Amino acid sequence: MELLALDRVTKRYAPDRPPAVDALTLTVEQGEILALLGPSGCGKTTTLRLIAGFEVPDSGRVVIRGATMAGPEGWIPPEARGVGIVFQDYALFPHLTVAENVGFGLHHFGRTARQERISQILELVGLGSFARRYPHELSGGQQQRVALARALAPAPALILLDEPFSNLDADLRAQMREEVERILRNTGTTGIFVTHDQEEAFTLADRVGVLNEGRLEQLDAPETIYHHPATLFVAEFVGAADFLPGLVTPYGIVTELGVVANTEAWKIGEKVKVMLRPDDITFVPSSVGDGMIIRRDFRGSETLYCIRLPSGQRVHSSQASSSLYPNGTRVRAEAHLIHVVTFPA
Amino acid sequence: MTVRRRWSPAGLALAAPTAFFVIGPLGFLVWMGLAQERADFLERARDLDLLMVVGQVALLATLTTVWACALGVPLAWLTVRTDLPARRLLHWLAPLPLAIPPYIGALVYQILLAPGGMAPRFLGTGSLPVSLYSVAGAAWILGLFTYPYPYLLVSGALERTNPALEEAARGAGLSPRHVLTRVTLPLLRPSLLAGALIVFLYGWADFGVVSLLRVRTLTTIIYEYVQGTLDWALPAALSVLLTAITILVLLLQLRVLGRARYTQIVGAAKPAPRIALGAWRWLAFAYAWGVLTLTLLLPLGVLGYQVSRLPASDMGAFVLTQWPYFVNSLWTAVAAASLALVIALGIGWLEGRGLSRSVSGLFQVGYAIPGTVLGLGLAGFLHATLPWIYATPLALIVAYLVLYITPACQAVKAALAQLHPSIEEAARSLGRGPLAAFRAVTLPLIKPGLVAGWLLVFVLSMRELAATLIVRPPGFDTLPVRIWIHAMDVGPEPRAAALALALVLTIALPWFLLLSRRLRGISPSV
Repeated sequence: MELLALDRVTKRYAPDRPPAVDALTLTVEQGEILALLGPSGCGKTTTLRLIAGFEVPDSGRVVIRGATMAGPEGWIPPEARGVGIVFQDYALFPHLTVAENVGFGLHHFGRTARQERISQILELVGLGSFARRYPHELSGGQQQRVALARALAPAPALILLDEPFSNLDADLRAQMREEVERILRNTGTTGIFVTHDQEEAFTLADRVGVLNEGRLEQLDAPETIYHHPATLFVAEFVGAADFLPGLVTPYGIVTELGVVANTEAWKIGEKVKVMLRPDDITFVPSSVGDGMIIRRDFRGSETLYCIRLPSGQRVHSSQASSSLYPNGTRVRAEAHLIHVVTFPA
Repeated sequence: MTVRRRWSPAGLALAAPTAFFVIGPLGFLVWMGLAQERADFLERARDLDLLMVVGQVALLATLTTVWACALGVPLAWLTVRTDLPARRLLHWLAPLPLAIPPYIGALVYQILLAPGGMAPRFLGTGSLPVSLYSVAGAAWILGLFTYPYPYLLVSGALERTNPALEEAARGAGLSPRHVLTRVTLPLLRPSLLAGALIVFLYGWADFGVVSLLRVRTLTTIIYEYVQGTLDWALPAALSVLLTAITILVLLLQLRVLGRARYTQIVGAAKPAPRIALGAWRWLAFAYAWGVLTLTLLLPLGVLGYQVSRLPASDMGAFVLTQWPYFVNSLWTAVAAASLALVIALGIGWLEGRGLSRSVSGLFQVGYAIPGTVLGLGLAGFLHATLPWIYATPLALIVAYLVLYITPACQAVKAALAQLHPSIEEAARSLGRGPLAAFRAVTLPLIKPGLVAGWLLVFVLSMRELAATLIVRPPGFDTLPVRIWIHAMDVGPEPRAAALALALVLTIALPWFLLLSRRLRGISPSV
């Protein structure tokens, strides 16, 4: 079932500037977790605010559960949309206890129903014993859980999370990511979160929408985004990528690292760019090799080599952390492309 | 597409009366001032020796500024950055003299230093070699009771200075003395300038002190004219002159301060290391307590002593006769503070929602108008446009609002600025409408700021003298007016001191509360 639909939604903050969100169209299914990924200023937070009702679109339509929230026929204010939000800074009410924060959206409930719901939700996020604390008495991870509990308490159809993990330490981030996913899945809540961190988007989301300058470049499963980027921007923004010039011939696309299949049926004679991920490239040390290692980045679980090819082109190769070759080593590089992705040169 | 809610009706509802009460009096004065023959005005200006008077006021303001900075700035540095003994107590006491309005300070020093006063009698001479009734005497008083402005601004800046900047200068090879002259002091420049300007404008526009000390200034000439004649033209012209220079100085301040960023807001920076004074410690100690003696201990002691000289049998009757004036002061100040807060809250709320800053900008003009000028303009303007307000206590409340809504706005704005917009948005997303969200979340969170704003307007209104003297309805005296009349007509005698002590004590309690909240945005008032 379709829970949210954006139909050519456009938002412009100033008439003389390009739109922050430009004719954005997407749908989100019930129970799905969607990540909006993009660099800062790409319009992902504005999209979230348009869905929440904090911004009014200049044109287009926002539909939640079949009801138009914003469109030609009217505009529904945030408080009437039934959309929960977890803010980047959590925005916990500092003058209220954890329980009062969580109960804030339950003002239509009766006293006992409210108490029950509060303890139920606090148990869910593992903060049952913190009900009487104030936000400033909690750690960052606990504050985030309260923010999530507060947004979940009124059982919203949709939860929006704005850079939810950016204020957490790296080790806590991975843990909270898992926990948030568990809670959203257990409650069957549809979630949309924005992030500039592709790892976060990939591990948490069912589908990832990549935004650039207000436009949706690609909306697909994480694997597809990584292996079959639809645009050059997506290929560059998501994961590391090198682009090798290639010439289309009847036998395939000829590049400096060999011939790859012409899977996208380019015309003979056309010049293209072939995308290479670091894990597509292997090399063997060889005294007659025409490549040379010019840089080695030890990254713990992997070692990333930068190899200069005879043409001067540089490519990156990801190797096991135990593989250690010094700079200046002559190598023979090979490309092993499982997915051939090409772009016009 | 739906029309975006813009709140323009509400904005207009606030802006229109504001423009009316702020622009109205000023416009009235400009109109009145320009409505006379130029030659006629020049002749009268010559009669009044106007150039001399303006020069004298400028001298007074300059002397006051130098004196106040000489008292306040070293004290700020000593209490914040050195190992001065009892510096915590001193830092806490130093702003308190602001609870003593300068005209009460003038009364105190009249009791002490006037011919036949306590000091000459103690010394066995008829009078002192330097007369208190002079520009120097007025500057002495004004500086003593306004030094907390530069003190507060400079000590605040010193507390906020990032010690890393000074350490960086040391690291770059500068000696401690050069760090002081090339880093610390230049960083203090804006707060020092701001403090000096507040004092300068205070001296420039003062009425209470100069009238008691019989120094002829623009404000006293205006007041004499208002009292003596029904002639509006000359006082109006003088008012325009007075206000124009005030606004000029304020614009200059904006220009100077608007250019560079001097604040270095740091999260959890460690406090700067204190400088050991060594043998100078006790000299500095004597200096600090000397300042406090002259500005706080001596005035309170003198007032207390004078009150103790009142015969106990007269006390009851005296309190009974003066009680109504106290009540007048109290209820007008309470009404002004409460209204100011409501308006400031409305402005803050609307400005947070995209209303242009023009409304609070307009009020800032009101804040810049000297009390005497506003009194004159408002009296004339209300008489012409709203006669049912003219000559009622309502006119006083309007005067206090125009004069003091800016500090209330600043307090509300500062409190609102502490709140991230996501706090209110969180409430909206949890099902509360704009007003409900404001009530449930914003209001409780900004309450301390609102209390501070209310107290500030209350204190300022409670001690207002110059505008009150002109605007008040016949027979509706406030405490400051009674003190002034007593001191002018009867002289500095015990009953004036008793009233002054009552006023100081009424102001001191809210002032304590304000200071304990460490409200730093304190501002001038006559």
